[in-house]
Amino acid sequence: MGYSSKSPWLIHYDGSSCNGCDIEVLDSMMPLYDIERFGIINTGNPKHADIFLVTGSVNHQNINVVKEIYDQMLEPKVVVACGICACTGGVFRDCYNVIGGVDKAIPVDVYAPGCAVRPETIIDAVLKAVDILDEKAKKMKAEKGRG
Amino acid sequence: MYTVEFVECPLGDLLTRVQSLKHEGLRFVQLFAEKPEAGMDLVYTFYDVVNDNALNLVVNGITEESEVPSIQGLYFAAFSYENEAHDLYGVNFVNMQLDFGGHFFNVGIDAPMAIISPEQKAAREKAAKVKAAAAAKAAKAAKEAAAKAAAGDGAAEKPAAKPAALTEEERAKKMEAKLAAMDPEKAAKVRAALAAQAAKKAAQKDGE
Amino acid sequence: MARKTILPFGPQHPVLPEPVHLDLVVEDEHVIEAIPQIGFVHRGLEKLVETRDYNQFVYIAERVCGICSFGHGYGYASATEKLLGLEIPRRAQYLRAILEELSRIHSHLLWLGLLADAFGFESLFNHCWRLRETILDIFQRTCGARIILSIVIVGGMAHDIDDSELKAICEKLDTLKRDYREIVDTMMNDSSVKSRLCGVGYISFEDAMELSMVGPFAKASGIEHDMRTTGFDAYGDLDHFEPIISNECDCYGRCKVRCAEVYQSIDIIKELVAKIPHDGIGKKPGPKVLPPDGGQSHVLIEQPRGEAFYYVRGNGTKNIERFRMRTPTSQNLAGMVRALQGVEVADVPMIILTIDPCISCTER
Repeated sequence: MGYSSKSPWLIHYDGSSCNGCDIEVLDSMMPLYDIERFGIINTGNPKHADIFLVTGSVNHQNINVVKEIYDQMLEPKVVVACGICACTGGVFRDCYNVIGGVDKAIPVDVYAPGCAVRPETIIDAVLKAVDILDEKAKKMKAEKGRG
Repeated sequence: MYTVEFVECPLGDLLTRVQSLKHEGLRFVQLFAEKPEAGMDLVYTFYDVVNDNALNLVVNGITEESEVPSIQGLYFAAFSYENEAHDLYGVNFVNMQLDFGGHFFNVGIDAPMAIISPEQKAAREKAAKVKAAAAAKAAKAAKEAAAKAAAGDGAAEKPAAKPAALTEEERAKKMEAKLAAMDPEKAAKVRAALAAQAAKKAAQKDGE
Repeated sequence: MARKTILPFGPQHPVLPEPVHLDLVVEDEHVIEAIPQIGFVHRGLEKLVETRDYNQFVYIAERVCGICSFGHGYGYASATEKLLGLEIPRRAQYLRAILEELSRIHSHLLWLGLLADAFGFESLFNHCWRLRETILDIFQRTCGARIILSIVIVGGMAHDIDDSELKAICEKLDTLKRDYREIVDTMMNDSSVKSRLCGVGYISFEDAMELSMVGPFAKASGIEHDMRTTGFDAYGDLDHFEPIISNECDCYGRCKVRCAEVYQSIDIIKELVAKIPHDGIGKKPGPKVLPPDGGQSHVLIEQPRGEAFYYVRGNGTKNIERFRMRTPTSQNLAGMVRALQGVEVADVPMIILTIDPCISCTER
């Protein structure tokens, strides 16, 4: 991990996940894995968040919710798909109500597979997301300078 | 350990039956729909705490037109199952207290669980074939037994003594019965293999 | 001036770990009616039973929910074993009961943490989840995974747990019990916690009976209903089992029941470990063993959230014709709607969390 210019905040939304990945996402913020030591805080408000963690696949009812949360987040923003269901649909890809991975609804930057995804993987993915966030911020700044 | 009971119940009697169960103090466990070959079935489960018995009322032959009385007035806990059966199976409930009007589960297609998938169809056909083969076998056995009985006691011991000595024809017949039970693709493969085997045998005989 | 407004609650809400939407009809600060709207997690996995054979489906059943994962595999496997007429060894039944009780401890600790988080008791949240790691470590050591264990198969268990390992589990639970007692005593006697929970979300005994509620939600209203009293599988060998009930009927009562159930589960595990027989763990039924055509069976087991129902119907092939599960939360939805009537808007998160809904179980 490089040095981040700011403390990124993250928001978590449970797509149609089985809870397994959700509790691992929460678990990675708990004392044992403690993602907060990188200055990362969990928030419930999409407008405060920089990193969007999605667990579970996208289905016909929640696709709009996922899009809505993504739209409410301010640029620059990074999306992390946590768990195999969020990446591709996993074991549920054949189900009648599952559209597929999160990338069917919004652009995904980091994929973290696993069933359930392990907290170590989540930490790695989030740190990768922080790097991407910095890159995006730099790019935005450069564009602003040009414009 | 609790006991389990399945009882059939006609659609017309459903409400009165459920009412009497409620008076007896049974707990409502659940309700679900399933779709065997013809029509749909609704299974209501109640649990008798005193005798530790799970009672299942099975309502057969529900179609999309039949009007199933809602039991929410008696057991309000049924609301989620009734709405679910409506959304996933297309069962038509009447007099619901809490009716989501088909928006309890917003699924992409109407009544997705009621659609018979190709896999299910294949499984059913296979099951029917197995059943038919078993029935044919049973009929044959019955016929043989009858023949044996007609032939008298002395003859009855004979076929039992040498079951291994099947003629070529009988073996072929048995194979056919087995093939009938398989799915078509597999059967074709087995047939091809058998033909190859027969050809090899013939070639060997020629060589000798 | 009282005017009716509809307040949308969820699906994305800070106190909700899972998506559920409630339309709260409010008049000033009072909730008149709450209408749940679910379906955000609906995948339709009951239909998958048609494309997977009955041995493979255990792994799908486990993925219905990540919190009660073990219980779902257990319920599906025992329903299928009943359908096939398989008798599984006692040791496998004991191991299943031990893992089920461990899952109960882990689920209740998780719930207690979330509840603490909802009323802003952040340090308690962290402590509960720290303790929960003990159980996850046990799972990791014995099953090789933290959440989805995949140790149950139709016909028994995939692998055994050594006696030395079982003893180590008991020792770990002793440490857990000591730490847990410290936390729970502090929390349950705290005056601010009491003022937040006492008298909130009242459901009387009569209402609970009428709504056929299950699990700790019902036990807190004085209903002595627990499937473990019927003595299914290894629970029949327990010397004494009595469900924990409370007559407070409110949020505080529900907390009390769940907190006490953790101690009870620890005792059950210790008793089962002391009594465990050595008659093998069973194995997968051969490919010739097929569910009978038209045969149907169901089982009822006690999950952390209450009684759960699993139904299977065979059609004479290796696929099962219909699989149905009814989880405790879908039964408690009616109770939730009733409990939310007439409460303050600020109490809504408390009530929802003390019911401990598991949405992905409900919607499958």
